[in-house]
Amino acid sequence: MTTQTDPQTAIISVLEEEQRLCTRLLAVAEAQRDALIAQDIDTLPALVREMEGIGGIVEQLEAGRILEMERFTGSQDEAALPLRAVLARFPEPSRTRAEQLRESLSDVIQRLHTVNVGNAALARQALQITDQQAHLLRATVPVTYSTGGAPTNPETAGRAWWA
Amino acid sequence: MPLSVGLDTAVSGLRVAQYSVDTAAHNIANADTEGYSRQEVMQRAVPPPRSRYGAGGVPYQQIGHGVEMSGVRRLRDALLDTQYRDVRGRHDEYLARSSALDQTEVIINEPSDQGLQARLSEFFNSFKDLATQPESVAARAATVEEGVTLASAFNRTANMLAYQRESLDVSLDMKVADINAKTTEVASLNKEIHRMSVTGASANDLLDRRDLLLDDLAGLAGATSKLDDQGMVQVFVGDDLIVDGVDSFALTTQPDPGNNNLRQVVFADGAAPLDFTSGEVFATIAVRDGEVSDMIASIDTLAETLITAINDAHQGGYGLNNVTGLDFFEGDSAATIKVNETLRGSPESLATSARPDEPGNTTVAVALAAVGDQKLMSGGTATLNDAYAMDVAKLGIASRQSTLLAENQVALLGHVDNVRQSVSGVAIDEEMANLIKGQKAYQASAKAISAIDEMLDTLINRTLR
Repeated sequence: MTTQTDPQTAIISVLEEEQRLCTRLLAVAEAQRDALIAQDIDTLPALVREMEGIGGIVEQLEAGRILEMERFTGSQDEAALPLRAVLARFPEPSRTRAEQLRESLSDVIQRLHTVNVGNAALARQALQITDQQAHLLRATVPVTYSTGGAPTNPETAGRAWWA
Repeated sequence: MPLSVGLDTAVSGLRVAQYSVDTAAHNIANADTEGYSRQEVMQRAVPPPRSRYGAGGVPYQQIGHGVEMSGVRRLRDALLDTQYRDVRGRHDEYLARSSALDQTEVIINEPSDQGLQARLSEFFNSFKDLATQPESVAARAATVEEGVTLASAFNRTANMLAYQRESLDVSLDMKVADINAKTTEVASLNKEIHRMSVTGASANDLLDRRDLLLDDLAGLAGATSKLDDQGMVQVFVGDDLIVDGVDSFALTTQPDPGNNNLRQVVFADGAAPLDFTSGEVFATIAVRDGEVSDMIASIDTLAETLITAINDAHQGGYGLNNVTGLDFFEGDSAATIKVNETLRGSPESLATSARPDEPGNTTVAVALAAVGDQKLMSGGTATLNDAYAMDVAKLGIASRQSTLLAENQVALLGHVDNVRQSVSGVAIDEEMANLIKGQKAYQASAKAISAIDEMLDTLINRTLR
């Protein structure tokens, strides 16, 4: 017979892990903000990969937390109750610990949301600017070559672009 | 409110980004402009204000405050500029020198049937022919005519060399005027650039113009430059200042009595001469006072020696008509040598005999022919033709060397300029590649931000309630 962790402990573990990951995600988002401001396109891809990785793990943790809440409350309907209400049923000292974690996690998420909204605007503007610049540069490409680099006039295909 | 903070950030980003587009457009428009340096916008995050908390009670240091432009940087390497100007001075010097010496070789026109060497040989051969038929008037006329042809060759060569020297001399006036125009503009740009830098405005295009002028002054005068502590440029020729901040010091030319009254370049105020060490002006003066003047002196010496030797032998002789005491040549230099008019009108007066009434006596004719084999030049070590051949060879070597040095310097300048262009030049394909890379990075970022946003919405609903 296997011994399963009790749902309260499991929920607290998930909240601890989510808080740690969201704190890390906040740091990544702030780094992404700095990279967008500085137009540091060499740093952005690594930050994107890390964001996507952490985001995937957090989603999995959330799915696990919902299952543990169902196990704790004994019903899916009650698992759908607000987290605060479910945590209020925890015995002490778990209840105090869980409530502290919930507040801490809420704070990190609020801050992360703020940075993310700003980053979305910065990314949109950066895309508009590069599109405008690309539009300018396309006008300078010789007619014998398409913007993809393929020669459009077979007779001049062998010539250098400045010829 | 967090959303308004995000909008403020976006607006500041848009303002700065517009500068980036304008700068990129400026770069593209000037991709082929000589001397243009690529520019890029420098950005920085707006620092947080002193108050600790912003809207919604969120601490300021946790909120992004957007971006501001800290300047427009001109991509230019000062060390490469110094290297370029050093090479440019030598490049322009060797090209000017090579071009001038090519002209000198064309004037000398050796080896050829019309050159002095061939004409000297024909002149002395004509006396040898005359010695075999001293009573022939036709042979006498032919000898006189060879003398006329030789004298004409001397005159033409001397006049053309003198003309080349004068042209080089006069060209100094134009070069000095060009230097003055450029130094005046550099001083004016110094003033304007300093004024703009004090007010915080960008003077990048003026800086490019100033650098282009400094490049040209390096080629023209071998000029060097350095920035003073006010950010203004000082320009030197040797150790002499020709630009000091907002002041430029005009140059002029004046005759140098110690050098045949040929021009020397001096300061207009005070007439102190300048010491050029490279560049076009240096090459012009060096060739004018060196190879060209040496060649003029060489053919003058040749002509004087010929005139003296031939006349000495001819004066003691007798013509068919017993005329004696005549000079064969008149004049005293390559420019003035000519055959005695009496001989041109009366070839019978040409002296071939050592005694009167002995028309078959060829002593003087033989002596005149022998002048060509006598070692009268270079301290008695070379014949007339040998001495001239050595001077021609020396000129040829100097000309070949200049051409080779010029070719090397062209390659070197091209290399240095390419390295400089790699820093300063606008490469359209590189700009396009960067843009495509940027587009992909921003698109991926936008997608990731959107995904995180959805996740956060879910988390907020579940944890904040």
